[in-house]
Amino acid sequence: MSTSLTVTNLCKQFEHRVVLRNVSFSVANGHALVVTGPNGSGKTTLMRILSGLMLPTSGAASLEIDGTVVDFDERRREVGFVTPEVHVYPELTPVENLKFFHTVRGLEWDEAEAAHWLRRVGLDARRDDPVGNFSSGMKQRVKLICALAHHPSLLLLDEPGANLDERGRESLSGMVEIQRKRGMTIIATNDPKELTLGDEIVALRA
Amino acid sequence: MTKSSLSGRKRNPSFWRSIGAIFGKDLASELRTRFAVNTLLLFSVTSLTIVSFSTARTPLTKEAQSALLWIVIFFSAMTGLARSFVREEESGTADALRLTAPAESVFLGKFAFNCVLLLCVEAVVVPLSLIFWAVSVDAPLFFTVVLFAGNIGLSAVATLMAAIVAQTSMQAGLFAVLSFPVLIPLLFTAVRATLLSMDAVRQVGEIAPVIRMLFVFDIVMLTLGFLLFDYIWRDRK
Amino acid sequence: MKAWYAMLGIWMSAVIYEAFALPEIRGLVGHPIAYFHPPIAIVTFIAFLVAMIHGLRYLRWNDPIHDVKSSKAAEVGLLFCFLATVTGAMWSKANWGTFWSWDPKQTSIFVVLLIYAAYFSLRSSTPNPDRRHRLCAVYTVIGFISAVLLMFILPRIGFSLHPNDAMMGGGSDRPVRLLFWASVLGFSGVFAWMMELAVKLALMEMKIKEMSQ
Repeated sequence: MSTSLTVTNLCKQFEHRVVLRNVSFSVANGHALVVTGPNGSGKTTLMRILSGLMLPTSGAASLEIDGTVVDFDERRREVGFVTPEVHVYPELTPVENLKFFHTVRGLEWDEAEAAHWLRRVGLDARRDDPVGNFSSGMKQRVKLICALAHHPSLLLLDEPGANLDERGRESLSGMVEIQRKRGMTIIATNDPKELTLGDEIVALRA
Repeated sequence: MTKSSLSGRKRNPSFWRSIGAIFGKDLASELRTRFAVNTLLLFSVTSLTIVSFSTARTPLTKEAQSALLWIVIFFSAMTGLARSFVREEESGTADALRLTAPAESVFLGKFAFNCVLLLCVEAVVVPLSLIFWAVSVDAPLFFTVVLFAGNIGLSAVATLMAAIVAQTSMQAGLFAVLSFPVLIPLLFTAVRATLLSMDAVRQVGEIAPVIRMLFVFDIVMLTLGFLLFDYIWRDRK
Repeated sequence: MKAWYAMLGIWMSAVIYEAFALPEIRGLVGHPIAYFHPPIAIVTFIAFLVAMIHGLRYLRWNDPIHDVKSSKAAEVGLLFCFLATVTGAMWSKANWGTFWSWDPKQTSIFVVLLIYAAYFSLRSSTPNPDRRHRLCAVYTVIGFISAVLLMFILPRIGFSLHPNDAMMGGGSDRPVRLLFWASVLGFSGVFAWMMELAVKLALMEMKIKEMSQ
């Protein structure tokens, strides 16, 4: 299966404020791309557009799988998105969160796989605790596995290292490695340690 | 990673399961926090008590009773039914839901949850008001059907409006302002139908058309919600 | 365009003159307002229909121009709705002796007033423009459909004082009918003219904002 993401002349404007101007790049299967830029350069806006949460003012970001463009309804199975503004359900436990997102995506639920993911990020001891009681680093791990467990073709990570300790960062880079075998990764960050996760860097100007 | 666990690509064609998941998720968080149901019940019982207490010395006419019953139900709905959407937006989970769930199942799941919440309110308010006001219901079957139909219409409109106001800056205040005029046809009809079902010796021929109106309203609003919800819910082309 | 405006002015003057000149309509008191109130009420609905159509076009094309048109149609519609409520109350006083009698049509126009007043509070409390356009467009659809539901349901559960077919149908004289529809046409023209002005003004404001940025 070959997947690709092509971004052409992407512009985003809020009323009269221009946030993104003519952004173009493309990512191929098995590659990871890092997007950097100062605060206010539109990293988060770009990620939201790529995820499908936001429409561009002009231009296009098309995700293609085997030559066919993925529409929004398909995207919910093909995209995984981690960003500081989007959260998992605090009243639910990590397992319940995983199960919920899996079911609404229309996928079969597998208990063993959930246990595998929880072990991976070191949360199996807290599997029956509501996520609301977790520390911010642990919440970040739950968000990561909720974005990864359905094996997305496109993984979008907006400041993924935020709140993570050394071990968390290690499992993060492990996940990016796994994602390379399955599809594409785009990481928006200014953290020098995370720049090395990608093979290419796109720099946005403010 | 073990290959056997990678069942992820298998797709489930029916979206009923995602409706069930959203309904179940809301129910589970409600059972854990009991936020909405507590507010709803306390509000409805309080307002019912105020009404009953202040009219204790004057026997209410049947017209007044049926109107007051629906006023209490309406305002209880307005205090609690926006909660599930507002909470999603406040805690930043709404975008997660947008990214993962089909819009139609969000609408139907939340609608089902709001229906259940409102049923809880009715289960408390209706018996209490019957006792407080010493109402005699002559056609209990019709009375129940009216409550049921009213519940569906109220929940459908409330779910739509809640999804709208959750995205604005003045959530709670706007909720009643937007919902009330849209619900007026339902409320007027429900009050009339309740009155008919309380009154003795009513013919089926007189009640049936009014109940039919209620169901017309329900069907129109559910259809409208089903068609428009995607546009309310997210930016789309 | 100027010629159209001049014709509209002459047309409306003629309607107003005739409204006062024509004799009483059978069974109705306070007749000149009979040529203004129902047409204004009809144009109110046309205005909200136009608002909904532009709302739907916004949802289809995502072009802010449709949002401008939709909101301006609703704005002018709200003014007509207000006028319809007031003229209705005046006529009600002349005809039935009270300003307000919760007649189904009176109730409907009042509720429609509420629906579209709510529309503007929704507009003003949604800061994000994409969201505002989208939510408002959806609300014009819900608002219009529930106004139609109201007109459909209320007369069937209540009673009516309204002279339903007194003027439009066959129950009236030819000149009365003619003048009535002439008035509807005239007020539709007034609506179209006001909406056009409002849209023009809004577009100019947008341009000025853009240039000053």
